[in-house]
Amino acid sequence: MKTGTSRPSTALETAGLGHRYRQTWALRDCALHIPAGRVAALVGPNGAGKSTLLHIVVGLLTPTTGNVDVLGEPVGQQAAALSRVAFMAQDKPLYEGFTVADILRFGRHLNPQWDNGLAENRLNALGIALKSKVGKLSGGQQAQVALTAAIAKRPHLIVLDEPLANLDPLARNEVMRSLMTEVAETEITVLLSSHVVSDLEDTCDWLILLNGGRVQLCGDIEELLSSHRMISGPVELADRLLEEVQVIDQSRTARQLTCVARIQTSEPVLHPDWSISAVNLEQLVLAYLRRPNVGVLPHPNLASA
Amino acid sequence: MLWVTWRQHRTPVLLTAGLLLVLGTILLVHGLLTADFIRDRASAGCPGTGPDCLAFEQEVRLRYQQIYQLIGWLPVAPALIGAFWGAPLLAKEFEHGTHKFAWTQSVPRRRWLTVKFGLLGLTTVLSGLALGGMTTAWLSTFRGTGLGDAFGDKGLFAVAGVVPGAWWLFSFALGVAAGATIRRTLPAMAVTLAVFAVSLFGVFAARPFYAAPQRAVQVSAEVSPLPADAILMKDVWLTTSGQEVSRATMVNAIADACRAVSASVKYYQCAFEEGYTQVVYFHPSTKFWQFQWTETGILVLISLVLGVLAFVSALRRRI
Amino acid sequence: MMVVVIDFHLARASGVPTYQQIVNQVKHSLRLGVLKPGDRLPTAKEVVSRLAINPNTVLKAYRELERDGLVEARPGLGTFVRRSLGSGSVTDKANLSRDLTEWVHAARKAGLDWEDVEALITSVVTNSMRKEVG
Repeated sequence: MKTGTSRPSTALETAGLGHRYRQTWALRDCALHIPAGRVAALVGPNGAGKSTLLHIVVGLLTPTTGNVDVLGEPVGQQAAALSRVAFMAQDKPLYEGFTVADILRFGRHLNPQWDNGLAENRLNALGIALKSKVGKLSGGQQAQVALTAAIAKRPHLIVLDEPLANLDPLARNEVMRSLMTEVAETEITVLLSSHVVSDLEDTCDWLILLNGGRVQLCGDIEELLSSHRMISGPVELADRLLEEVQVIDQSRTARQLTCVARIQTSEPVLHPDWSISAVNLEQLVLAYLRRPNVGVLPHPNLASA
Repeated sequence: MLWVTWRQHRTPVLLTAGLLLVLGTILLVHGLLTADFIRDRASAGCPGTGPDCLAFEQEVRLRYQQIYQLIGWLPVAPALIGAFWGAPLLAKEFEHGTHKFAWTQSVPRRRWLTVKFGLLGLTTVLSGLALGGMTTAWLSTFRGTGLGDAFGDKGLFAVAGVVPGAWWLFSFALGVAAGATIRRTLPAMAVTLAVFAVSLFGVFAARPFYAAPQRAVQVSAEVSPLPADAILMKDVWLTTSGQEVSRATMVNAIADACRAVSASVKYYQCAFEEGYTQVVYFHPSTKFWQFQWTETGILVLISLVLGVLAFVSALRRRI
Repeated sequence: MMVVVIDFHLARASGVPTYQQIVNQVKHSLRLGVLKPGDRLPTAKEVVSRLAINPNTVLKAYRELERDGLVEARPGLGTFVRRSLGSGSVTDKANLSRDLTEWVHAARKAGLDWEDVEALITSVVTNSMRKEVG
């Protein structure tokens, strides 16, 4: 279902977002955005505040500071705001005593834009019988039922907290396939969290790196990858290198320096002794996670990407 | 929301309705048979002083006891409502994380809570009232036999009239509040049961203070000043000089004079002859409805406070 | 419903970006004649429902192919092959293929393994092509 109406280009935007549990800030001063139609990965170590951020975005938590807009409208506990965002929580909680049909009926009763035909077709295609009890389904099937319920709500933004955790490789692939099919069909914006970066490489095109409750990176994955390089070479030349590029993370031996660096031009001209190669998403993420104090402010021009 | 509430809570609701139906049937059949029995004997002048009336009274008492053993337990029945309807309402959602599923549909949490509390609360009130209605109806078959008075009996008072509706609501609200704050089903159930038990005995102890008691003075040694089916608050003894003293003081004072008397009837006669008259402070059974509404009011008020506590707790607590 | 004539597959650990792999596979199929002008490429939805990749990746690959003039997007219908790739007639290609097969047999007899053969071909191709261009 392609909508002809023009939408604001930013699906999700937060400003000055913070959340405090008693004395501890789980999330602090978060400014991030996701352009509409993107599949955004929220990455960070355990305890980085990923779930807190997602719970605020879906309206389950009220932030201590700052605000969240989905398509230009604030999120929160109003029916209209809730209907714009769908959520699949970690561990995909569903009522285990319900049948799959009950879950669909639950969704139909609680969501004005519920698309029951879509839900039934999806489950039918996945071979999940409406009569089966949710508690008797496999983990992968439960994830598919939960995903179906989220998609049938017809949201603009779908938020998934660790959607692939506790799933076997086949189920991971199937869940991702059906999610990507949905993205191709409806131009929905996706925000999913994961601490396994390799799961995200082919599916996500936007990266939000959260570390210690703060946003370390937020931007288009391709642009991030093209603006970083893996550089290695003789350690004596290290000082000169540091003048020319912004080193994110480095490791040194007696003779060699290896680092992930942020570069300004697409092909930096460095001393010929340096060997320069591209970084992949995992290397990039690891480099930043190891250096929590290195942050790159989001480029304003990336918003229109 | 209506269907959602029904689907999620139909098991305990149906179970309760079933049990009430069974109890109602037993009370109805038993009540009808007893009414027939009493009507048959009424022509023979019983209850009264007729020759067969002793056997009649024994039979009626026996029939009464059969059911009394059953409904004597009913004052604690609301505890089960608190434990099985109230406590899991939120605790089970928190425990399984399903609140994250329920509260991210397009129905705001405030509305979700209001509808659930409202519908289930109303159902518990109606169930309690149904119980009160059928107990009252059954008790009324014993009218005139000296049995079935629900005012002086602490337990019967809580299952007759309108008070059961309030008790059921109170227990439900207690369970919901426990579930909302403790967030785990089994501990919430345990706390509900414990607090309910304390509350039950607390209310039993507080009941005599719902109104200012009446005072009655003994006129003869043979007749107790306390009317039938009254709630006794305290009994004291009046000396000849018009001073109220405790039983112990009276016993000490007449220790010498009445030492030879052992039977209690004779003992009181002796005390009366010594110039001590018994005084009772009590509530007569005519205050039944006043007490019913007072207790109902107190319990409904506490239930509302608990409901608000559960509501706020469910809205505010971290996810 | 049109028949899907090409199926993409991914080599995850190859280091080649996913969109580039799709571009390469389309070009490869064009060279081998598996894809012919007028054929419809699978839609982004069809591709991602099999490969679990971001649909924007597929669209990006198709845009690149369009820029090269190999395919054209017809709104509402899909993306279609415009022209074939590769030069030379079919008979010429068949002859060359036969000659090369004989050469590979000879190389195997001389004791060369897969990597030796590959290295030799690459170096010969690189040198002779460079000479031609230069």
